[in-house]
Amino acid sequence: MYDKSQMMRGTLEGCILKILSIETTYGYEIVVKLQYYGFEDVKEGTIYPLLVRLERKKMISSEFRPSPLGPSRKYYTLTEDGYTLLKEFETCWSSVSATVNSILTLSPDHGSSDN
Amino acid sequence: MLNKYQNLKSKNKSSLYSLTDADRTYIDKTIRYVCSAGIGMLEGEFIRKDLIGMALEAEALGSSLEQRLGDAAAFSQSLVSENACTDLTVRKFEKLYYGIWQVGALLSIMTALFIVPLGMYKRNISLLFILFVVIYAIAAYLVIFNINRLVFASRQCKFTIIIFAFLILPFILQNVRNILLNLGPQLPGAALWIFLCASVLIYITGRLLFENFAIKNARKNHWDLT
Repeated sequence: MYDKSQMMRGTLEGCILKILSIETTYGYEIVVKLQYYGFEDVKEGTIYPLLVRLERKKMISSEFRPSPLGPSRKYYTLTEDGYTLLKEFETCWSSVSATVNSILTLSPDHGSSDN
Repeated sequence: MLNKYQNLKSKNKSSLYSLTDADRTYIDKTIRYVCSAGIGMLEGEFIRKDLIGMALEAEALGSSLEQRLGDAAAFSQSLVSENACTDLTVRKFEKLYYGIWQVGALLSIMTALFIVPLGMYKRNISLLFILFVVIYAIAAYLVIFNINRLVFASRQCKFTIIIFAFLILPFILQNVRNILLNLGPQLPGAALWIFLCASVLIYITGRLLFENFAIKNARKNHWDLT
């Protein structure tokens, strides 16, 4: 059975950037959105190291805001550098997905190099 | 007076008391591992602050940090692999200044013990003994700092280290001490007071260097140390 988790892991960072481009939000909410759209195995433990890295690279910024549950929550926002990175990811993804789709549409008649 | 790094550490420590034992252990093991395995100490305290917030929220929802973040060992290793300090100069200087601070503290405590309860200032002291104490303090700091990488190690591994530390090491030290006290050039016992002052100076210098470095690093990364 094909393990799709490795493939999805490679695109996780781009997906996080996209979610943050739509709204400022916090870690658990990002996980809920990712799970809703198909990243079923994602937990906050998977995305937190990525968020730390993105923040260190200044692709996102953070601030603590009061939460209805009591302790302050850390909210993340996309920075301008983050928007640029997101655009680059979208371009790369279009190119890679187009390439993969072309190969996946190969049939035995077109696949041979002798033809 | 606490410096800003210790201020943050102290705030984190007091917040930890409101967590369950399981969550406190989870955070403690994670931070000990990541700080010794490649993430800076200051950044480690910011991560600790984040984890405390997540733990409080998880507990408010009837959950735990492990349920939210997954296995502690896997999470810690993921944190290190994604975020190990790539600027080795920064990491080097942070470890150096922190080392000077902690070694200064160890030397001050050991010298104070030699002077007050043991009264060693009343007799001559071998220069070799003082050198041995300095080397011992540096070695002890390095062992304590790096042993945190074993926080997820098996019980057998930890048991072996404890046996070595509590049975064999004191035996070696006792024999070395007896030899060194009488070997080599002798200094008057009053030299211990000068050594104590020097140790305290090393401690203060190390602490100031670390604090200054932490503030500069925090400013560079736009971290809020207040």
